[in-house]
Amino acid sequence: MEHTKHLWRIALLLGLLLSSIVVVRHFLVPDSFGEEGYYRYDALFEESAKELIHGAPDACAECHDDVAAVKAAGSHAAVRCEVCHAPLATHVKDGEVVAPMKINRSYKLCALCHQRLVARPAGIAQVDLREHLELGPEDAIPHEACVECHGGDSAHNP
Amino acid sequence: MSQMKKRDLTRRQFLEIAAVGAGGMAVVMAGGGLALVSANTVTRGLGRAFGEFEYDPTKHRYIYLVDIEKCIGCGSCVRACELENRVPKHFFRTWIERYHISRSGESFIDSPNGGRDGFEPQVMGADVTKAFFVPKLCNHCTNSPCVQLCPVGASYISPEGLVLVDSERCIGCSYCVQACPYGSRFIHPETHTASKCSLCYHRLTKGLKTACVQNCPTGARKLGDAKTLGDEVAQIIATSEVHLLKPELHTEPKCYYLGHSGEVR
Amino acid sequence: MHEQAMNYLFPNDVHVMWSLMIVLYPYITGLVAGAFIVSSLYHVFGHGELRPVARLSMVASLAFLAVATTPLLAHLGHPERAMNIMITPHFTSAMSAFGLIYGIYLILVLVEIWLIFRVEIIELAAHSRGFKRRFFSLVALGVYDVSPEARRNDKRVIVVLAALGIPAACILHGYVGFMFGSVKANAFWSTPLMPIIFLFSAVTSGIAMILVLYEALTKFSGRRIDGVCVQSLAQWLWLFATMTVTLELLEIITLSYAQNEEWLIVKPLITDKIAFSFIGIQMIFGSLIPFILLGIVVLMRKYLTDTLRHVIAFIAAIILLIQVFSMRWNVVIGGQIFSKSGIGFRESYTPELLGREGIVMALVILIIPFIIMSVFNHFLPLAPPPEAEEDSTEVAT
Repeated sequence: MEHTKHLWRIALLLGLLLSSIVVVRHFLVPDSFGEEGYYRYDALFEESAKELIHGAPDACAECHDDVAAVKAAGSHAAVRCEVCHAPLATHVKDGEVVAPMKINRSYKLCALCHQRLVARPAGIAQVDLREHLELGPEDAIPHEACVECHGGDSAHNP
Repeated sequence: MSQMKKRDLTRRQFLEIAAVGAGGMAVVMAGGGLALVSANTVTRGLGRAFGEFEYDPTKHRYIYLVDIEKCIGCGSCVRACELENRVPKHFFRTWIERYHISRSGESFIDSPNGGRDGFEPQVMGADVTKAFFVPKLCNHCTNSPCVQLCPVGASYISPEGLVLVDSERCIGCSYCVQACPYGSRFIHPETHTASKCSLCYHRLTKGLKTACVQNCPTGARKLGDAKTLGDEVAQIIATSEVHLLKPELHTEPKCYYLGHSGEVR
Repeated sequence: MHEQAMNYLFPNDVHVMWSLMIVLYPYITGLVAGAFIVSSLYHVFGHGELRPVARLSMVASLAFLAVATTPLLAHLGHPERAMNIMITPHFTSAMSAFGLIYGIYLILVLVEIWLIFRVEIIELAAHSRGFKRRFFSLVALGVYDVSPEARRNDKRVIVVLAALGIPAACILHGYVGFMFGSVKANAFWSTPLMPIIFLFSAVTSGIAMILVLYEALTKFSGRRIDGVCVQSLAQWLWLFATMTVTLELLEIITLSYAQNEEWLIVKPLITDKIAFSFIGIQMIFGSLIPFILLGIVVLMRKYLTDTLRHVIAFIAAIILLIQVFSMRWNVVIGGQIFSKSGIGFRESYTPELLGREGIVMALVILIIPFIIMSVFNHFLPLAPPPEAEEDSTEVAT
């Protein structure tokens, strides 16, 4: 094979290029990649290390067992505190109180579950707010319209 | 399991070599690491535990059950998810759809802001004969198109069978967003990577339920574990008429629906 | 009532994720593959009449290949992580093959061009000094062998590479079509016809671009346009355009005829939402008119003067370039403006003007290949060398 020197050179060049790509790639693959499946296994640890915002199911009762007892006796027993208040992390962090717990006394909160809707299952107590309060279509609904009558100062046991 | 054991062995060998090489301090550390390894198969060395909670991903296979007849459309789950997972505005890891079906079979579907702020009463012109709410979330498909189509291995199926995203490797090509038949994925407007329901993996690994399940006031959302003997949800799925979303696509979801109606998209 | 019933979007389905850049990407790779096919018609299939465009089409293929990745980089959420696709390619994904296919094809085209221009490169190295001399002798890899034997060897390798390049070009572009065709969640994309449609329209756009470039460049440099070459290009163009449009129609007709669930969303899509760009631009303006124009060139060649033929072919080629772009647009954007719910449409998509994925960016990306070509032409002329020089070693025919 004469007069093929240039062809061998380019073949050599491509060979070098290819092997360097293979070597470089080897060092760029993350450590835990492929340990379990085709992914970076460490990503699981990162995912699991994310901050908890909502508390454990019984977290609130640890400090507020009196309120919890009232609530447990009422029809809101199955509704967790954080649904109507706010997540635990907004109130307590690392065992320390960081801010007072939010209290929402608006009728809008109650309406989320108790406004009458066609699609809402019949089992749940629901009213048409204006009809129930005997208000005209133009009247404003009072902010605390629901809690005023239901359950005294709160809806823990309506 | 045999695979897991094999990995432990190599890890142990590695730790021993490292210990001999690095002297006394390293011996102590490696010893600690070894103790952890033998106590828990996936707690890998020091500082790499799943929190204080002992957790083995291979011992779980989470399943999810939505009872359509129990959902009241209050949106508590959507709000809880948004807070728990810092979901950006106008994107949803979970959402609620409302269906009104007329006598002639037309469906009217809405999901204002994903149901996050509840639903307003709607006056329907048509003669509505049935109406219901349908909570949606990632189906954590076993044969998931999004994981298959991820070009870099950033979307993956965890040992528990959950579909998760490695936001450190995701290149943000949004191929997975195109591939998901359920509309469960989106590109996070701040991180520019794919984002979706992780089934609150950070809660599961600490023995807690997902934010949506925990905050559902009616028990319309249930979390189960198919690897736990006598699991309630597994029992319901095994004995009741449950449905999957878009079964014709053969994605094998792990999210089951009770009281499902054919109109559900 | 029906309006309301017909419009429900999944709440996450609000944005068109794949923008103008993803329209541009298959358009560019289509030009790459198509231009390469033109050069292979000469090098492999012995179509000697295409000699005037053989070099031009090779370099055009390379120039567009050089920018093929830019629309992708402009689109990625994390362009700095783009190499992940080479570091940990997940081979169950069609997209992961990108690095491999692109890399192989790039090497193939580079080596072939190097061999085609080797004699000129050596001449440049020999007749210049300073940096230019060092640069071109490096490009020649230090071998100044231009003996007839060496050139015969080159020819042999060129034929092999050009032949290998055909499947490589088909894979490069077929895989782009496959990326859409394999998304089973999308009613408009999910068809095995998709890669084939993409391939045929790629060849159409490639031939059209070469025809336009050849006529423009030749006119511009004051040379005579080769009538036989244009006639041949026009005939190939007519054939491929006809097949492309047939396939495009076939996809829609099949969907409509089978009356599957997909048709429920595809029908309002193509007859309403993208009616202008699909029926108007892609089908009537982009397909019917060039079909007639090229039909005149093909069937009435005896009656046409050279000038008339060149003008008709030129216009038809320009229209076909628009047709293929509109096809890319309709597939990529059209496939995204309906929700996965199957019963709702997003607001229509308008690309931004400035910005990473905007119109200006698209124009810049489309202009760069022409700059590359003109720089290349400055050193190594794209016009074919005088006939006599090659005759002795002609292997191609």
